[in-house]
Amino acid sequence: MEEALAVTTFEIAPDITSLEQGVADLWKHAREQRPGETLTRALTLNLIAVTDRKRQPDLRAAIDRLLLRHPCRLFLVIIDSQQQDITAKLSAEIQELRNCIQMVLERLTLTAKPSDFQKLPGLIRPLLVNDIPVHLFWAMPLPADLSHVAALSQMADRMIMDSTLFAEGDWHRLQLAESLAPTDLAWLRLEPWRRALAEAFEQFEWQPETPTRVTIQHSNEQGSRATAHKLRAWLRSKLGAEVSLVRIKERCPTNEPLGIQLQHGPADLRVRHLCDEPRLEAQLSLDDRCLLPFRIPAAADNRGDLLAAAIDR
Amino acid sequence: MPNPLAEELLSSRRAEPCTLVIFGATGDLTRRKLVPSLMGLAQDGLLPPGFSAVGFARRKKTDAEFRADLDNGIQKHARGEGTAPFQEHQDGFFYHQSTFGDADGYKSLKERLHQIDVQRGTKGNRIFYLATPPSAYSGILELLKSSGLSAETDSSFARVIVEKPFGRDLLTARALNDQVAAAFDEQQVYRIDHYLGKETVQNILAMRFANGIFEPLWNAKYVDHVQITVAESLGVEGRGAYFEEAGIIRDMIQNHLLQVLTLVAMEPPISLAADAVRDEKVKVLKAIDSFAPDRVETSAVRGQYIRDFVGGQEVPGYTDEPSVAGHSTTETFCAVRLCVSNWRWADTPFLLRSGKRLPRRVTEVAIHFKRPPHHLFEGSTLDPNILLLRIQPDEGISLRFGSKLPGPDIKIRDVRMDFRYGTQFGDDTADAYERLLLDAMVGDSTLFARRDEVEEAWRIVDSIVAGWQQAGNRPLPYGAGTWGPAQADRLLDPGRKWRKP
Repeated sequence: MEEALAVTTFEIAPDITSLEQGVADLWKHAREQRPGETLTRALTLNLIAVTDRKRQPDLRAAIDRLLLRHPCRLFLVIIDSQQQDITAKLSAEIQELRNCIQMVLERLTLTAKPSDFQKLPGLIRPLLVNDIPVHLFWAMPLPADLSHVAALSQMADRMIMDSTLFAEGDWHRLQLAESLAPTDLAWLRLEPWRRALAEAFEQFEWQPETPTRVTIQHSNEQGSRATAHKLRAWLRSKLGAEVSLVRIKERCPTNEPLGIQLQHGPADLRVRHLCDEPRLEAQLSLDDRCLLPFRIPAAADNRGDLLAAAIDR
Repeated sequence: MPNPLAEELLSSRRAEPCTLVIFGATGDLTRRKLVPSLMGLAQDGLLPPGFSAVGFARRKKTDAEFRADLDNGIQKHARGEGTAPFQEHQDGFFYHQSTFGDADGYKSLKERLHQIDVQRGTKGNRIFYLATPPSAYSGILELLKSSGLSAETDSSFARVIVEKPFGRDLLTARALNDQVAAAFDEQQVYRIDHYLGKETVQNILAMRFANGIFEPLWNAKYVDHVQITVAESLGVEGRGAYFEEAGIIRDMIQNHLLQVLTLVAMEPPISLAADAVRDEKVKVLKAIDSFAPDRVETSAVRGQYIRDFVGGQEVPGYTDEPSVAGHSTTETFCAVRLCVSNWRWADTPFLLRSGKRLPRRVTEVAIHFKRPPHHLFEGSTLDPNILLLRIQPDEGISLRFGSKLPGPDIKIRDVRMDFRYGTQFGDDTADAYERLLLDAMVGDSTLFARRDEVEEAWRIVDSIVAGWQQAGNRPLPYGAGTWGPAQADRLLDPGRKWRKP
């Protein structure tokens, strides 16, 4: 893969009434970097990301990570109750390659107070790039008024959320709003757990009439609790299992469950999260025989990789 | 009962637990490529639980010493966190000392494999990797057969992976294939050409058959010619002894370039099943006529690099390289013009070019389209549209087309529309061997060469070599760091030229 010779970022602060001109100015500035060279754009999607001031640094880090796989036009919406009028910043990241210069990120940052939410779609809509998908990533707790979420989600081909950020009851409210059916990053975090279980189930014959008992251990971290609940719901629906949740003291912070113990007839399965490495270890015993434990990579520990995985689906 | 948790989670490309037996395990390939690639699979969670490997070689070593050697190789050559997965998997790596011709060694190997089945749950599944010189193949294959190790059962598989070169010519390739066939059925045989494991080579199929816009133009009516280039900037780099026996036509044209050509020229397969794809590839090769000796003179050029300056340093010529005879007539460059005589490609030249000590390391396929039938734009030179498939480096696809220059006149300038793999899909893509090893475990032979593919490719190459031998000419000299002998230009039609990537 060709390495970029240089990467530059620059920023302007246009008035919100002239954002399209602002984007044109970004391109003009980029062309001035190397006059006469071809300027191309690497772009796979539009991403609308909504967060609050407190979570903004985390989201920026996640997007930097996402960019490795998905160069995009980014609309970063920061909801700030201290904000007066809506302000905008436009920035671009340009890579200088051997034969050309390439725009890999165009970012429009809009900062608005909650009551100005209804103005945001009108600012974003004209700037969406045609013919590529629009993803909405809601990276904060749900607002009291879900119509704000709905207004943006109507522009999007897909909505992504992370229920580990939600307050108690938020997911239930979301499920009641039928028009919103997001992809949940918490569910992607559980994929290695589900795979480990599925892999172990290949080793024995599951009998639906034989009871399955499961204990899921989780920490007191909001993310760990939320994912444990999700895993419980899945196991109940797939296996008709009796599933209990147990809180235990965590050794290191995590947004995942800490361990699973599952019993089904002669099968005794334990899956645990190896705290010091991003791995899960599964150990299956059948009758009195211990099979070889296996390990699989745990979910990426950062939201950016999970977001990329959600977009890839 | 089916696994109630498997839906959407366990891929249909899931590999069953198995043991990989590597013959020649103390060699470079194992250390540099095979085991690091296995760790790449492990890192992505694709190595099956209980996966085991046995290194079979002559030198005396313990399991622990073997694992330490492998760890060393992984630290240098694995992508990502290669060493971390090895810590978890190293208990599944074993060493078996024996010579390739010792029947007792295979008997004890069989016992060992059975123990591994019991301890690690590998279920009798075996893959035998021949990472040895071809001269060792026949002995190994015979003993795999006589020991019963090559036999499959209803519940277990046995496969063999063979590295190139698959013979030195058609005769030896057939003999080798016959030796393999005496021990294994064709569907058990996996002939590796690592180019087919490259994402960008596989993308040729994706680009052609996942999009509706290209196929209508993908034929003699619209394509002027196709250039396929595999260029290396290095010389023979200590492999002089091997290269003297092979030459570039056997080392690169017979396998990598002809494989890429088949993907570019093939008809759409009816499915992506291994034989459906390979049937279409073989048809392309069968549609390439052998070269009559007098046709070789006008259709193939061979060259040999001579001393010159590269990057400011003087580099030796080929005959000054270690283990190369001073009077060697081995070619280090070859350019061939051939035609695929079928309805789709009649009279459309395919120009293949490969060489050592060329200015850059690059592999690309350039589809040159025909110019518009009527030239409307006076004052502008209309260059043909080119669809460029960059295999390596700078992996991607670009399309060159004409666009109007801003201004009062209608002047046309070439511009490029670009897709770059690295920018779009990020870094850390798997090595070709990762994909191929996984496919061998899964039992998918699509990306491996079939017996008839190999033999048809040799038929073509043999006819060119025979023509050179009959003519008795020496290869044409070209300066190291240049694009080969100028005489290669005559292979193109008037007004066309070789690309300088």
